[in-house]
Amino acid sequence: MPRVPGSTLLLTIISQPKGLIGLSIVVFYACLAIFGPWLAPHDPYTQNFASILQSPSTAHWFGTDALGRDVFSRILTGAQTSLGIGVGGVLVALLIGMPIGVLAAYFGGRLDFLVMRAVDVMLSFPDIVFALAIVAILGASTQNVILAVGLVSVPVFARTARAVTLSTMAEPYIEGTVSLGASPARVVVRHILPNIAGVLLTLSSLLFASTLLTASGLGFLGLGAQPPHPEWGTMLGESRSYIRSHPYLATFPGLFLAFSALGFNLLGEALRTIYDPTSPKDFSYRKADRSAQGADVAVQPAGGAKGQHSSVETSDVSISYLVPTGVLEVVRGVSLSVEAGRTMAVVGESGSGKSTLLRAIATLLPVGRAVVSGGSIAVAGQRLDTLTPDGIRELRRRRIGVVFQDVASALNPVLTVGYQLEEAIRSGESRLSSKDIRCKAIALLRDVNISDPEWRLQMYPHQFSGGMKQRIVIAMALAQNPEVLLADEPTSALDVTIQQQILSLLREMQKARGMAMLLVTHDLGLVARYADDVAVMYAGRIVEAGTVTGVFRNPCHPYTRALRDSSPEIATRAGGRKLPAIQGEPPNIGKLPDGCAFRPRCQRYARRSICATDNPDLRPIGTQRAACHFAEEALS
Amino acid sequence: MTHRDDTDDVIVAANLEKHFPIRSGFLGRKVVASVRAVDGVSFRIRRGSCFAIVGESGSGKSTLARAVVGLIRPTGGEVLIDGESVSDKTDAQLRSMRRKVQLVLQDPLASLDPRMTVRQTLREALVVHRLRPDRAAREARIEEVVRQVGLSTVHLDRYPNALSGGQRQRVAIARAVVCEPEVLVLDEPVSALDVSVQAQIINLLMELQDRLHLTYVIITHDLSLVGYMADDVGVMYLGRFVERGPAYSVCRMPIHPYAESLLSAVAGVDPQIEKSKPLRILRGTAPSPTALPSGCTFHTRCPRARAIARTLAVDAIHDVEGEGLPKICVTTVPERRRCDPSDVEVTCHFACGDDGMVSVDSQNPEIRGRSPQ
Ligand SMILES: Nc1ncnc2c1ncn2[C@@H]1O[C@H](COP(=O)(O)OP(=O)(O)O)[C@@H](O)[C@H]1O
Ligand code: SF4
Ligand code: SF4
Ligand SMILES: [Mg+2]
Repeated sequence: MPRVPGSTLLLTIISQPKGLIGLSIVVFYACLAIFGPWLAPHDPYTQNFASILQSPSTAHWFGTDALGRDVFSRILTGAQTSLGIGVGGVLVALLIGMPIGVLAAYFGGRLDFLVMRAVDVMLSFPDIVFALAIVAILGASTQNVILAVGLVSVPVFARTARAVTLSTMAEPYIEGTVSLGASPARVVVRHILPNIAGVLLTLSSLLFASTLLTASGLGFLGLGAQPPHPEWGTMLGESRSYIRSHPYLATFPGLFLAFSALGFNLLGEALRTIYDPTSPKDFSYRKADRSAQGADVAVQPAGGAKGQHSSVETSDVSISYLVPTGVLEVVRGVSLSVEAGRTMAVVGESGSGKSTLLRAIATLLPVGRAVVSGGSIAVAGQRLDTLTPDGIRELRRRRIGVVFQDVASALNPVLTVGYQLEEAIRSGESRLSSKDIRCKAIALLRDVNISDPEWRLQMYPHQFSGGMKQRIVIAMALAQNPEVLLADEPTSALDVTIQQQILSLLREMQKARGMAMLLVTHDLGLVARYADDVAVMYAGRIVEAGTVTGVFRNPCHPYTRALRDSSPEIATRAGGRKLPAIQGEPPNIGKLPDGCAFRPRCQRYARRSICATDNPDLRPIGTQRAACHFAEEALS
Repeated sequence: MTHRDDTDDVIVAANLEKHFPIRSGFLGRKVVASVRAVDGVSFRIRRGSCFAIVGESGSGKSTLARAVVGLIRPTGGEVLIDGESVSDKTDAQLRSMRRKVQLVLQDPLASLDPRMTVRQTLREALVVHRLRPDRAAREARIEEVVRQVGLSTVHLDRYPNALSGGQRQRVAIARAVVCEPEVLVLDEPVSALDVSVQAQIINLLMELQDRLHLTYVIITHDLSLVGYMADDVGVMYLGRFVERGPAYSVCRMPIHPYAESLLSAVAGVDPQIEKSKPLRILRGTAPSPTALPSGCTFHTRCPRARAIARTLAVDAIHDVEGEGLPKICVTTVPERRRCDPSDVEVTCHFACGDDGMVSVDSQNPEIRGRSPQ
């Protein structure tokens, strides 16, 4: 659930058109309710039989009613009652509904069951019928109308409060507080209520409109505020005998009502985009073709010898995100190449730019939010920035397979696995018959070690475990026999024994099919076990690269060395021996220090000034490459 | 480890069981099956030691930890904390007992209330337990703890989203130690953190343990962490311990085939060793805890059973879906046993070769009993 502090809340509301309009209308009505009686040019109660049923004029802007009272003044004075009924009704609903919902969610069990059944029953009656019944029993008066319209909305509040409480209670910090020993009252008041307040505020605003309309309905039927007291609904009711002869009598109260309902609804909608997790957030999202990325980069000839190319080649690539404060460069000049038949691992801490780099290579940077701001990327010998949108799609379809960490979102939950796999096969080979496609799907599932493939094809993703889903995703990635396999933390969400299954499968496939694999991970042990080459990233740059054997045995960059030494191996607690840890905090990519980005945490730095002034280039050191001014010190 | 003084055990769990009923029917009255999340687990934790519970998702380790802290009530067996049974307590007594046993969760961002500053979070812990009612003493305690976990007082007025992952985990640890507990239950304390930060947090935890004489219960899937931090370890599979004993022997020479495969999943950073080492990759996934396999619950994945079956006579083999397994693995639940001379208890029919098998339960009856003395 999003959390929004007060001042930004206001800003977020008025940054949306509907929020701005809604809020203005609501403020206008609030002023009307407060100052209306003073603004009224005439006494709203004074009857003047000399001037009944007059049309609007300069003396009576909205005309006069059957008793000769000034309609404009009655509307102004009635604002208080009309809006008061709305506010009172919502308050009644909130004060009764919210505790019921929160308690039902908190205590669960039988209480929850009974409450929810009661709510279902109440919700099955139309509001107005329910409200009518209550007023009929209690008698017609303003208080009873408030009670009636409030009670009508209790079930909605109770149900919503229950739902948001349940989802808030699922947050680990609630469990943390409970385990701290806090009493239920404290948990509810300090932790649950503040977190559900936003949603309930939204609901109140939305319900205000319907409450107002139900109340006016009652007023119209003569069950609301009693004459001569002015109230918009009641005024509408009084005007009904004149609806043909003097339509303006109904028009003005009606307009005021409708307009206020509109205002509260708009405000509620604006609040909902802030508090409802399922509503679309990105108001300014620009739909554009993915190939738009890197379009403004000057075209250069592809690097490397003609005819023979690496499967993936990036040269001095920079990638930036467009953030509200400007442009944030998260990949800062990365050159690497992955040869066919080899696996290169990219390691580094979170935020170092590994995934962004991989997404750029996969041509899957989020459109309008990230761009390749420098350098070039070539996949299977083709420069990405020279390709047409069709070319990009073709490349994606035929040459690139991707496997991401988040398996759940890679598969469509409402389609069978077979359908999705066959779709992946069909998208490349339109000539295949559906029988051939099916055979190929079965063969692919066999390749990724899924037993009974014929029968599995008819199953839905949720019927598979996490490890199985990842196998299916791999099968889809392999469907087009790609040249390049890109895997971003493919096993981080999986159990350790399953992790090994998936990685050895990927490795086997990569070798058997002679693919180039780029594997992003933070686990050095997996790199040692499953990769040929490695590139270590820090703050958006490669600080060391080479063969896994070379880099891990003789790390030349102090970061690589620290990373290697701080990975706990099977060691047993030996008399309080400390793990060698990397000091300090991970770098803040927006605020990097001058010179070498690793300097604040570097053990080798020793206050030498060049580290503070010059950013070290990646240069050959022995059999590998490292970006440290004093890399040679590792060799001695 | 032959004789233990009982007053030295902070936590004793005897035959602990937690079954979640699966209900259906009108009003959910009918119990159609149950998830055996924890199914008869016993252990003792010495004061000042570190006990690790290792297993994969669904093995029941989180449920076990929550039963130990009293966050859920077990459906069988009992937990004693400082000699007092958790199950007899009323909710109010439980809450005051919780001061002694604090929980630190895996994801520090999710486990801190986003609306509270670090100071408010720590203050709340003190207020809840009515510790240091005096305002000045309270603030002094908060500042002391913040320094103990390696933060400074400038962090006190920050909200969780203004802290890095490592800093947040330090706050979560501070919240746990601020009310001077005896036991910390750490649920995957570093797995959500970057490798470079993990080592810092592990060092911090070990330093705090020495300094504050804490007892740790660590829940993890990572045997390397166990080797590093724990004195004793229990390896869980489908709600039961399949191997339990001193960490130095379980992490170096595991006896149960499941523990072996967990160890094999831990990769070191030497590429030549890692690439030449034979991998023991387990087949398949863990079965559902609603329908436990017969006999040894590990038989559906066990590599040892498959290897042994090849050496057995035909009448000792049971055919399961076209595969031969030793009959005894499929039909008989293995007893807990100890292979001399080690201290490790294992539940596997083929744990110790042909001889040297001693049933633990016949030797050491009090572990099974409901009220150990
Ligand atoms: N409240 C619950 N209701 C039903 N089943 C549960 C509940 N909590 C846990 N389980 C089940 O108990 C088993 C063990 O879960 P858990 O203790 O969370 O394992 P782990 O921590 O090892 O992932 C799982 O099968 C899980 O689905
Ligand atoms: S360049 Fe200087 S600061 Fe950077 S890693 Fe090398 S020694 Fe450390
Ligand atoms: S009892 Fe049989 S199936 Fe169970 S772990 Fe031992 S060998 Fe494997
Ligand atoms: Mg868990």
